[in-house]
Order: sequence, then C-alpha cells, then structure tokens
Amino acid sequence: MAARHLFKSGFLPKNLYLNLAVAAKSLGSFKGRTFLAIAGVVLGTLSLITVANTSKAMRLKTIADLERFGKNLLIVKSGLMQGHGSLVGLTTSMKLTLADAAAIKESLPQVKITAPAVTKTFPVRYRNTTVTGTTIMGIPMEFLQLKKMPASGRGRLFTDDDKRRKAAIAGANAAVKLFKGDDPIGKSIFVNQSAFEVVEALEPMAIDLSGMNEDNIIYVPLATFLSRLSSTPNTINLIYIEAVSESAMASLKGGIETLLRQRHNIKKGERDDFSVTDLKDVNSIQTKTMSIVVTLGMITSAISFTISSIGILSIMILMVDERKIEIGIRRAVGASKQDIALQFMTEASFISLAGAAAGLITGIALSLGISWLANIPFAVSLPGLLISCIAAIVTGIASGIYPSIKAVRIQPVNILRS
Amino acid sequence: MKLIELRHLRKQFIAGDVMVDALKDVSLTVERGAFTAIMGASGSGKTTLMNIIGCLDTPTSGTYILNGMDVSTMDDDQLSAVRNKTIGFVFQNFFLLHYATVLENVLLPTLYVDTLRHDLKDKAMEMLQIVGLKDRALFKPRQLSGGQQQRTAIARALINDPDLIICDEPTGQLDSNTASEIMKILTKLNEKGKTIIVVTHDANIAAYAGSTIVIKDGLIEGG
Ligand SMILES: Nc1ncnc2c1ncn2[C@@H]1O[C@H](COP(=O)(O)OP(=O)(O)O)[C@@H](O)[C@H]1O
Ligand SMILES: [Mg+2]
Repeated sequence: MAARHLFKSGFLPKNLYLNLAVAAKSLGSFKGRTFLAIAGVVLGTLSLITVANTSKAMRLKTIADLERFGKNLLIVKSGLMQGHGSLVGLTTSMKLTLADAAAIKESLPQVKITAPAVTKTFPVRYRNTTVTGTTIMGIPMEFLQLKKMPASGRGRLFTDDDKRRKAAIAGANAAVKLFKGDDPIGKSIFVNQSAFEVVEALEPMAIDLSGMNEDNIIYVPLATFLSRLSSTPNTINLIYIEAVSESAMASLKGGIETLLRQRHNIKKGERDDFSVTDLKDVNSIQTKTMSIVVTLGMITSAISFTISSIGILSIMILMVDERKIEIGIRRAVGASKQDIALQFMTEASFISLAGAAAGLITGIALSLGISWLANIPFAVSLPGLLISCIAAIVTGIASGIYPSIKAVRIQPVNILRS
Repeated sequence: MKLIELRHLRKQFIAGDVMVDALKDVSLTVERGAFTAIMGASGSGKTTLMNIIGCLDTPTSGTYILNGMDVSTMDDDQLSAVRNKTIGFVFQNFFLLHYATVLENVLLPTLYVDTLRHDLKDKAMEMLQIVGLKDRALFKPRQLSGGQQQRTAIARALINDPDLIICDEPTGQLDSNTASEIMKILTKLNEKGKTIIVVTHDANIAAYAGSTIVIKDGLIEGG
C-alpha cells in the first residue's frame, strides 16, 4: 500500500518531475516566505555542520598536539603570568637559569626529563635575504625526546655530535621566508654574524599548545645558543619537563613552584616571576571554549530549524488554500487522500531538503575556511551530517503534516461545483 | 447492457438548519454506448446527480450500480480508484492546471494509476490528436482559447480509457460555434463506443444526444 502510494505520488522520475514542477511553481508565488523558510533550514544545517566539523577538527588537532609533545608535559616559562592557562608571559624577563633546571631535575623525584630552552629573535640572513624578527630557539638534545619534530627526512635532527656545533633546524615558515624555494638543507644561514648550517627542515606543525607558532622557529643546539647568541650564558626562559606519570603531574607542579619561589627569593604575597603550565590545562580550556561554541551552535541550529518549520508550515497552508481547485481536480481524476497528503508532504520536504543541501554545501565550505584560517585540520563530522539530514527531514515532515491534513479534508464536490 | 443503474436515489443537503432534497427519488438506467443528455432548470439537481454518477459524491440513500459494481457502498479510496479507471470528467470551467503544459494536464490522471506504463507520453499525444491539439502539447492552458482548453480537458478525460465520460455543462463557457465543435468531438467519441452523459440547459446541445432525461425539483420527469 505504502509502496504503491510512493509510486503513485511522484517518486517516479516522470511524476517527480511533474510534482516538483508544481512545487517550484507554487512556491514561486510565495517568494518571500519560501526564501525565509529555506534560509532557516540553510542556517540550521550550516551551523550544525560547521560546529560539528570544527569541533571534530579541534579534537583531532588537540590529539595531534598532545601526541607531538609527551603526554605528561609541564612547561616553566619565565615572566609574570598574563592569564590563567596562557603561556604568553606578561613580561619576557630572563630569570630562569640552567641551575634552576638542574635543581628541578635533581630535587624532584617526579621528573623524568628536563629540557631547558631559550628563545630570542634575531635578524637571520641567507645570501641576500635577511628576515628580521626570526625566533631562534636553543634546545638541548633532550628536547627531541620530549617533542616529535616533523622532520622532512632528507636531513638529520641534532645528534650528540651537534651539541656545540653551529647547526640549525628550520621550521616550515621560517624556511619558506628565508630560502624562497631553495632547499634549506646543507645551506648556511647567518645569525648574529655566525654561520649556521641547516641540517634539517621541518614540515608545518601549525600553532601548537605552547602558544607559539612553531613553524616560524629556527632551532639551534642550546650550548651553541648560549655561547654564540647570548651574553648571559646561564640564562634561559623555558624549561620543558616530563613527569614520570600522569598522577605525578599535580605534585610535580606544586614542587616546581615551591622550589623556584625559594630559589628566586620570592616572599609570601609576592607574585611569581615564572609560570608553570600543564598542557592539559590549556587543552581543557580549549575544550571548554569549544563546548560553549558547540552549545551555541546547537541552539542556533535548533532555533533556525524551528523558525523554518513554522515558515514552511505557513507557506504550505497558504498553498493548500490557493490550490483548492487543483486538489479537487486531482481528486476527481483519481487521486486518493493519501496521494494528496503525500504530495504536500513531498513539497514540504522538498523545501526543507533544498535548504539542507544548500546548508550542507555552505557549511562544509565554511569549515574549510575556518580550518584554513585557524590552521587546524579539515574534518567532516559524520554524526553532524547525519543529524542535520535527519533534522531537515523531520522539519519537512513536521511542517507538512498539518497542511496535508487540511488538503485531505477538501472535498472535490464542493470545489468543482459548476 | 447496462453501464449505469440508479435505484431510488435520494440526496439531501443540510444548509444551515434547512434540509434540501436535491434528489428525491431518482431511478434510471444508462446503456453502455449511450449518449444521454440531462436537462433541467437551474437548481433542479443536475449537478448533484452528475456528482453521484461521477462517484464524486455518495447518495443519502438508494443504490448505484456502475459497470456491475455497487458503488453506493464504496469507501473514499475505492471511489477514487473507480473515478480513475472508469470515469472521465469534463467541466464547465475546464479545470486545468495552469502551471502545467497541455501534455502534462492530459497526463494528470496517469499519475494515480497503479500499473506502470512507459508509453504514456505517446498515449497522451494520441489523445491530443483525437481532439486536434497535437501541435499545442507544450502550450500552457492560458495560451489557449476556451474551446482548446475544453478539448484539452476531453483529452485528459480519455487518457485512462474510461467507459464513461460525464460532462457538466461542457459548453457553458463557449460560443455556439465552439460549442458545436466540442459536441462533434463528443459525438465522435460516442461512435467509437464511449458512453457519454452531458448535462445542459441548452436544447441545441441536448440535440446531439441520442436520448434526453429531464429533471425537475430533484425528480425525473415522466420517470
Ligand atoms: N452542498 C450543498 N449544500 C446545500 N445545498 C446544496 C448543495 N449542493 C446543491 N444544493 C442544493 O441542491 C439543489 C440542486 O442543486 P444542483 O444539483 O447544483 O442543481 P443544478 O446543477 O441543476 O443547477 C439546489 O437547491 C442547491 O441549492
Ligand atoms: Mg449545475
């Protein structure tokens, strides 16, 4: 029975064409409302898809970031803290020392690895090209254990032999700016009058959890940095620390804070001149922000779908009124009540699905744009797609029911009286 | 052989708090292949009778046998199927879909046929050929004259090969030349075996029919 009516009522290509022609034609006479109703579905689908895709992309990005750094990582940064969880210091004081790093390693049993590091910006020259404001980061060999560097594989990452050499690893952006297409590997670059040999180039990493755009960094061995590029050979501004286990993180963080306050002679009530950040904190703030965005997106989408349901409903009611004679004619030539009901359901769903299709395309385009702008991976969320399709179908059906009932109640005898 | 048999048909309408007896006690038979005119003054019950014969409405009491089936006891779905298969309608006001082409209008009744056919378009063109509108297949109804619109309606009435074609004042909107063209087409269809019933109050139109039934105040005169 149902299949028979599906057949009869316009799901065959030929009949579908006729019915869609009818739908399009009659929708054309209510352009404003149709536009509004479709816009509602577009907006609903758009926000749902975008939010779902972007939050999936953020999740993927966070997982990738956490994978690149060891999971149980703390970062000590010199300078006053700007805000909770942020790794950007308010001041860029250089009050951490190698001795601080050594003390942390020696006196705190929760520590597995420490990697003191130092950053500073320099003009960097390759042949005739000078790029000012390039961040040079001095890293110890241990840093490579903490962080997976996305090496090109054509060169080599630092080995113990490089400790005191003038070797450099170029971040993806830094390489592009400086070498403009030349292969950086094996080339000499000049920093502070010293020639460094580029031994490896990195693939793009995107901004990561430490808040720096790491693609702009050129890495050199820590000892080389301190002797060649620094006037204060014991001063650093970062210490990366890996804890022995996840459960040790909290006590380690407290231990580091107490130790450094002691070593820096910070009295009770005075503010720290350093900050200790757990990457998971940063991560959880991001997750929280994301979940607010997701909730807002869901609300927007629910409101849009509701508004468009009402819009479609009102259009369909008007159309039923305007098309009483058509309904009478169709009934006279043999349409059953189900045929008529299905026709109006089809038309309502047609509006809704047209909107959903447009929303889907713009939503995917928008997520692509966001992924490009925010430098996060592009991902399509399957549940997002599914939910928006279901929402569009439900919207179509929900807004088609009442008009269908109204259409079915129309008696051809009363309409076709000559 | 009888195509239509009406026995003691009554139809009452309730208009406000008054009861109107539109048909009082109508009994009649129409033979297969007949061409019958129904005449009567305005308000005599012609349209009411046609609606019942056309299975668009059901009698208050009495029996209606169409093509051997008792349609007076059928439900809405069954009546829809009977209209689709057995009856073709031609109305005074043509009642075409204005957004659809002539061809699509002719095809309309085929949308509600169970069995699938693939030569529907050829069939529709054949019907348009019969009414002389083959070259107007892709026109919209509003681009046609009244006579052409009514011929489109006749082609639509023919598409599902009905036994019966009922026409309620088919020439009411047409001038006398066009009216006689329409009546000639109906005569031709009758010669090919279609049973035709035409409601009219014009004696010139009724003259095309083989027999005439006169209805007055809901009763058949001389019946
Ligand atoms: N739906 C209805 N409600 C109330 N009265 C009706 C209805 N349909 C027809 N009538 C009445 O029944 C009588 C016959 O009407 P009708 O069959 O339309 O006559 P005709 O077609 O001969 O002009 C009229 O008095 C008319 O007012
Ligand atoms: Mg009448």
